[in-house]
Amino acid sequence: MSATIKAARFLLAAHGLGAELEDELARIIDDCFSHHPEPGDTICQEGAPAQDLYFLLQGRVQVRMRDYLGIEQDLAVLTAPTMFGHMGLIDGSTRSASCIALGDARVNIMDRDHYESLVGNTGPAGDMFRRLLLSAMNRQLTTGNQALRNLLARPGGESDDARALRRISGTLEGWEQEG
Amino acid sequence: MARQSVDGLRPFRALPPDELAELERMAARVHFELGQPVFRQGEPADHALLLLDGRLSVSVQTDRGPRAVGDVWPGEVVGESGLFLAGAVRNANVLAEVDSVALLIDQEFLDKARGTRALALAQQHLMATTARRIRATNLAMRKAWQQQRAEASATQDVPAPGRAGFRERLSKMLGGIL
Repeated sequence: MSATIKAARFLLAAHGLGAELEDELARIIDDCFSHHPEPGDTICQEGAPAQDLYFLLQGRVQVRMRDYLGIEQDLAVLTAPTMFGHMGLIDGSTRSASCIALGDARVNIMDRDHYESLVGNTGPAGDMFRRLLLSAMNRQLTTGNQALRNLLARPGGESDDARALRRISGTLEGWEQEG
Repeated sequence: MARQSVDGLRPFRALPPDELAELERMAARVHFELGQPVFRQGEPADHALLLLDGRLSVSVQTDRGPRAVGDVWPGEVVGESGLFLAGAVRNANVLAEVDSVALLIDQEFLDKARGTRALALAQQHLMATTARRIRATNLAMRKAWQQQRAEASATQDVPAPGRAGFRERLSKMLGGIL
C-alpha cells in the first residue's frame, strides 16, 4: 500500500469519514509538493506566516513551542500518517509552533492556492476536505477543553500545571497525533 | 416579523437568489418561544442550528450554579460539535432569550445539500467560527497562566499556594467554554 493511500485511509477513519473517499483524498495528497526534509530541518517556524498545510506520510516530526518565558519546549512528536498546519491557513494566523523533521521524514505540502481552491470547491473533493478540517478542529477544541477540565479538577504541582498547559495548548492548535 | 430566510445573513451574502431558494427548500426551520430551552447540557448532540432571527443565550452548569457564557446572534451557528463527533453530548445549556427562528442543520440536511455552494459557504463559515473559538480558548488559558506568574513574581510569593489562584482564574475565564 502506498504511503499516500495509507495516509488517506488513516485520516478518513480517524475523522469518521467514509472509506469510499479514500481515492479522492489520496489524489489530493498526491497533488501536493513532495518534500524529504533532512533530519533536523525546520518544516515550519513558530511566528512565521502560515502558507502551507502538511501531510506527514513517513517518519516523525518534533513540535516545539515557546513557553510564556520565551523558552522553547518540546511539545509533541507527530508520527506519520497525519495532517498538520491547517489552523494557520484557516484563520490566517502565524505558526503557533515550530516543526522539525526527525529521521527519514516525507511531507507532502499543500500551498495556500491549492488549499483555497479546494476549500471553495463544491464537488466531492471540496466537501470531503472541509469535513476533514471541521472534524479535526472540533476534535482539537473538544479534546483541549476536556484536558482543561481534567487539569482544573485534579490537584497538581506548579510544574505539572506548566507541562499540562503546554500539552493542552498544543492540542488546541492541532499539534497532536491523529487517531 | 421574524426572519424566516437566510437571505442577507453574512455567510450567504455571496449566493444568488436561485441558490438561496434551493437552500431554503432543503432546510427545516425550528421555532423557539421566549424562555424555551434549545439545548440542555449533557443531552446527546446530533444537530446544529443556524440562527435566522432572535437571540439565544448560552450558559454552563458548574458546581456553583449556572454561569452565563454569551449570546448567539442571527447568522451564528450553535451546537455544531454534534455534527462531527460520534456520541457527542451538549456541553452547555442554550435558551431562547426572545422568540427565535433557526435552520436545522443535521445529517439529512448535509446529505441533501452536498454539492451546493450554500453548503460550502456554511462549512467555511463554521471553519472560521471554530478556529476563533480554539484561539480564544488558547489565548485565555495562556493569559491566565501568565497573569498568575506575573503576580507571583511581583509579590515574590512561593509558587505553590498560587496554584489555586491560577486555577480559579482559568476556570473563571474559560467557564463558558469549559
